[in-house]
Amino acid sequence: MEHTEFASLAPILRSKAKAIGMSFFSSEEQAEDVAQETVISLWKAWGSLSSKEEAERMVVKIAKHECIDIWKREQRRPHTSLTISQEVTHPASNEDHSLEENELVEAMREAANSLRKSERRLWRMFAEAEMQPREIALVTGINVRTVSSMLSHARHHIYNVLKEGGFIDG
Amino acid sequence: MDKKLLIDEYLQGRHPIEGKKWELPTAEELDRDEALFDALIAEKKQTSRFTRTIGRTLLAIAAVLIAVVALFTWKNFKPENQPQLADKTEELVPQEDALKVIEKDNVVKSQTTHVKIANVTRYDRKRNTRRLESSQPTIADEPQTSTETPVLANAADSLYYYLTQLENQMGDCRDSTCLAELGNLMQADERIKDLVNKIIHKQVETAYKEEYLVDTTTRYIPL
Repeated sequence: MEHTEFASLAPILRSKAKAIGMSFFSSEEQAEDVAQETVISLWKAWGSLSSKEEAERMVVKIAKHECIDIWKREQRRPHTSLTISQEVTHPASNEDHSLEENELVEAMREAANSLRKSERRLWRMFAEAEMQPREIALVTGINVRTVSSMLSHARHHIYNVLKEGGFIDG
Repeated sequence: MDKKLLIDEYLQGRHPIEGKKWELPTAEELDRDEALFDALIAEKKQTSRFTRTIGRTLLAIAAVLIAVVALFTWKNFKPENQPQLADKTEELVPQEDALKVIEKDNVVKSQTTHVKIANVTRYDRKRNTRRLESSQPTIADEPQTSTETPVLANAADSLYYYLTQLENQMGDCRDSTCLAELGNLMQADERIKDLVNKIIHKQVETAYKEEYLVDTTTRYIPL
């Protein structure tokens, strides 16, 4: 399917994924996270889907998969309130990182977590899912300029946090 | 990697630090997670249903307990179950009785100003009650009382008739024969008064027994 079709279907698919997340977690915040992760996964796999019906079937499956994924992480860490952006995953080349690099990565993660929820979701799509502002606008239904502005604000915030933490000189 | 370069790459969106790949899971993985999801949802629903049932049961038990406690509390507030209040009421009861006696005495006094039977003490009351109980008509006596009343009524009618005749004849009474009968008439008058007073006294006694429901217009004839 063409990516241009995604824009028209995205609100429906997103609300469906959010409803599944809501039925599982009974939490607006976690349901939003499930919806975001589902939409990003669907966006990534959009080219391999053949029809709208298949996309609707897939969104249900992916949403349930994301729910279980979050639930499993919560089971591993029951004493902390977990959100997607707070998850701790090991970078691919973590073993090669030096102690300083690990410290820097942790500081960048904390800086990203200190963003506002709306900004944090957009930043996650930008920095982690490597989506361009135009694609983010297409997926979320937010104006491109608004997305760019929010991403710029988020970038500025992370930069300042890292600077205050002494990771950036001058 | 240089720290500055790493930060620049990250801020440009070209260096993910979480390493999550948004790739579609395999079909088996999706099916397995879907089955687990459905199982957890079913368990959650069952748990919530169980919790609701437990909650309703606890509410019902609490309501019953509150009702029972309220019932016992209400019972305990009844005077006979409270010793202090009971003592007070025991003290109050004689006073009330005394008041009743005074009231009854006043009623009797007001109704029997001419005959001195008014100072009814408690002893008198008991004695009168016993006497009235002993003089209470039995079933065998009931026909007698029913026949006595017509006899008395007939006698009263006859007396009224003869008195009227005497009144008519008294206008013509000019000789000594009439004066000779005057003593008999005076004696008859005394006997009638005595008879009437006895009837009134009996009526008062009956009324005393029946909670003083006596006709206040009835008065003794002064002897």
